[in-house]
Amino acid sequence: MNRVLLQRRWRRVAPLLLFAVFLTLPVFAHDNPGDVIHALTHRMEEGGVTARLLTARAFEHSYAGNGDAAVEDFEAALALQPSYGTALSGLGTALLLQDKLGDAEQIARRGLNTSDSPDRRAPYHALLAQIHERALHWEEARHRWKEALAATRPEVDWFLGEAQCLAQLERYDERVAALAIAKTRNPSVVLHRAWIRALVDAHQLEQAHREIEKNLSASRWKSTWLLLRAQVHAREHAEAAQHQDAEAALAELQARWGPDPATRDRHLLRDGATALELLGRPNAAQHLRDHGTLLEEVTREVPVADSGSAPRLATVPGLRVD
Amino acid sequence: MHTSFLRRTYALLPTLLLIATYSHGASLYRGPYLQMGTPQSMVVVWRTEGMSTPELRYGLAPETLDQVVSGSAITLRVSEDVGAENDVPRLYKEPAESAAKRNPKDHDPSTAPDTYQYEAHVKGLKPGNTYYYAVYDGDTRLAGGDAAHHFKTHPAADSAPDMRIWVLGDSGKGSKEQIMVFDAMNEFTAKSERPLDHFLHVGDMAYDDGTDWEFQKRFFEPYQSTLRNTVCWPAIGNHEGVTSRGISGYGPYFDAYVVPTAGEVGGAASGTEAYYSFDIAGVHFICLDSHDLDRKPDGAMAQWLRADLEQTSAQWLIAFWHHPPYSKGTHDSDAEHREIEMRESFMPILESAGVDLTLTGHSHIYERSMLMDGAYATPTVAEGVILDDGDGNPKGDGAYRKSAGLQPNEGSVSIVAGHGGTTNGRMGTSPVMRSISVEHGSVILDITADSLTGIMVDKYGATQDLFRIVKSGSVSPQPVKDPWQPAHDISLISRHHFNFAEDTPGGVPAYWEVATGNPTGMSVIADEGKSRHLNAVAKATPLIGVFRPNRTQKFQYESYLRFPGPSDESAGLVFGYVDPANYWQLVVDLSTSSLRISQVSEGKERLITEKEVSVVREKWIKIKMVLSNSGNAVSFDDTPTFQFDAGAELSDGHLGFIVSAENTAEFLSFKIREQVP
Repeated sequence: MNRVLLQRRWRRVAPLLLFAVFLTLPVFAHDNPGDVIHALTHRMEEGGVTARLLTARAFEHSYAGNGDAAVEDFEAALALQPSYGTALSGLGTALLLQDKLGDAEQIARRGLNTSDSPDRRAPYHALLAQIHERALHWEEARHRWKEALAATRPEVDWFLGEAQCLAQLERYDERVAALAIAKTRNPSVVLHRAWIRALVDAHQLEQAHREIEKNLSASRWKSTWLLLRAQVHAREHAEAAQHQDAEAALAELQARWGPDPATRDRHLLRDGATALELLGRPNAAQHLRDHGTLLEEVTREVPVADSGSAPRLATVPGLRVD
Repeated sequence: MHTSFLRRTYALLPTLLLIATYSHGASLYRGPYLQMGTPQSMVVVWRTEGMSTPELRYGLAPETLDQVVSGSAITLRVSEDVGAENDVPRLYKEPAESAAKRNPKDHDPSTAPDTYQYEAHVKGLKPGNTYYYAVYDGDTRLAGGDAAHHFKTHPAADSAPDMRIWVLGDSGKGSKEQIMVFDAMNEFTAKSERPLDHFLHVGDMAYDDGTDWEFQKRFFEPYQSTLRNTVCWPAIGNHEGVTSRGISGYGPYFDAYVVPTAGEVGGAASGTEAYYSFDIAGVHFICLDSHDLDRKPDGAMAQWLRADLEQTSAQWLIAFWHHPPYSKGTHDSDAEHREIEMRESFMPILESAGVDLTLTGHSHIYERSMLMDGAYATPTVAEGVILDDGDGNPKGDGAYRKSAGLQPNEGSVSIVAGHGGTTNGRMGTSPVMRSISVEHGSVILDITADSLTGIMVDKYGATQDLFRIVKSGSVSPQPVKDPWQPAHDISLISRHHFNFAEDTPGGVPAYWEVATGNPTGMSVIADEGKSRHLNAVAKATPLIGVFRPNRTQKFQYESYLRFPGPSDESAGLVFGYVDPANYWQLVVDLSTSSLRISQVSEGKERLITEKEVSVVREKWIKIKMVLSNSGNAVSFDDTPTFQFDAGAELSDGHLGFIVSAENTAEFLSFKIREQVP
């Protein structure tokens, strides 16, 4: 499987895997996975196999990136204790990571049937939501996210999951409304930002402008908001303003990533690529994504940020050019 | 979380009144202690056993506590057994499925019955002011009303930084070292006539399982004299994580603390108590949950961190969490996934925002780095990432220099402060560290507008390390070519784990040698491709292999041993090895089915003690010995088997293994832990 795709999938399912881990006592949390697997194996050889030990070893296999061994241990644990929630949740997630959607769905449904409260059912709904997303069944996925959100303390990612489905279904106003509700349940700035982005996608540009301006004035680093405002300008067909904001964002990003962008926070590069696209330079954007460097023409064209925020750059002889 | 609790308390007024009506004889159980200070507010928390009519009185002098906080301004939480209304927030109770699996001998981790926790929200205060307080049950004073119970609000947000911070990690073991570290810090602050302003704990404050009882005995009671005057800002450690869950904000850790979730103390709203940020007079603090939340660069915590860092315009940026991005203490940041993920996912975000200092624990050691930037690779290397390889000491190589304000990637210092009270150790040498100590202690930070001074105060009150970062003007730090690196001195390493990995060349692990017997008797053999073991073959004389560098009398030493052959063999561990005629041994003897300790002196064996054990051939046996100040003990397959007295005759010597003549034994691994006091 494509490595990038695997990484993306891991990012989506990691919270689920973690949730499953939390259901058990992390008594083996102290050593690296190899040592823990070794110790657990010995313990089972000497003291007998239990569902709990098998499940603990399965999680360590997951951490070590050994999906087959993880699935094998989860299944062995469930053979011993068929309704063991930690193993069920872990197995479902491991199967999802392996793209075995049918098997993962079966496990998720089994988990739902053995759970007796919304809080316990929620992670299985979230798992089903991701299975549906993988199959591009956005309506079903959205339904499952809503079920997961019935939990007392839904994860931030679950709110974002529902919003993502609504975006895929092009129900942008509903997405704005869903995130507005999310904000009332959890004050996380992550949800607030998602809501503002949703405003832009829903062409609720007046309110989007107001929110962006508020954040622009409150932020020291402004590139996130400059890029969002450039996207608003793009929707308003205000090309000059769009380019102005994108250039300002790119200048600030250059100041932050310094002479060697490839070694910096990769999200700064992603934002840099977005800026280049908004400037109408898709090739340069792709080059930045692929190589972590800027094309020479971009380096020349884009002014460096003001010296107040990045005094070092004034003395650095240009950015690295391939 | 607490905002909603506050709202809820209005609805609970009838319950509170009911409690007040029946209140009598409640006793103070925990606190009072301070939480979530701001320039205008403070939260005072305490617990009683039994119902009370809670009230906080405060004022500008101990004798004039003329302001009162009561009723809905006090959030109530109760233990599960208390018969209050259903929607009163409940304190931690062990889940039934965990309780069913718990060993009956283990302590019940639940909150004690009949517990009432009160969180009094004091508002409308003046910045930088000192207030005195007392907590009451009706008209009965439970604590305070004296000079010892006071708090100081944060300075105004636009004030220049001027603060002293105590940084502590991995303290909650209940050991005498824990108390010594605390006393040493108190002595240091008293001598320097500068009390603490703030307290950061980087996790593992309640060993072993973060239970409510452990919080009480190993955190709240030992540190009460500080906690009543100083807010402790916590990060969750793995030991708290046994019973508390970051994802749900559930458990004794989250019961104990009141921290910002909605930007109450500056910073961006995180929506969770697991990670948060706060501002104190020009210093922006970030607390992360490295234990049980998604540590991926796209996860919710990382997204929140980016948003938070975009907003801050502080002069200093300090981040703290539990699992160290750089360490070779009792944990290896190049091998353990939490440490690796924190380094690879979060350090780039923090350094892009100009972080000055990162504080962690988990690894039971003190390690302090040079000024560095961009050290995200695994394994960690010094080349290309050290911006200043000096010691940072103003009286030594000079302070580290950075530009004023927060500038991206101008370097940060990383401190591992996991030396607060549990057993310390060192398994290697991190190439980015400038100061390494296995002594117990804590860290004092003194911060002003343009300087940050870090001091490691050991448990005896001595300063073991001092560094300073000075931020002014504009500087352009560049990576040092061929930076200084700490020497890897094997004699300083206190923890060794040999499991004969593929990189054990030639069959003899590094630093091991055949001391006597068959010179080619050691070889490494693979077991069905999964693990490897050391095969030890003795010929006409016993084979003794020793670990060369280690010479100590106090240690833990364990191994997995197996007998593959048919004869009546004996094999085991050697300690106090001086020469082939003088050593001690712990051996499993198949001829007598016994485990015995004996001393070989001038070639003659003297039995110290012996016990019958059941040994199955071709099966791994775990033998372990602990030699410590409190006694010497031996276990066989994790079962305590006997204790023994070595008297004064055990001298320093090597550790190793022994196989009797004409026999073969296999060793799966050796673990050595020198006892670092």
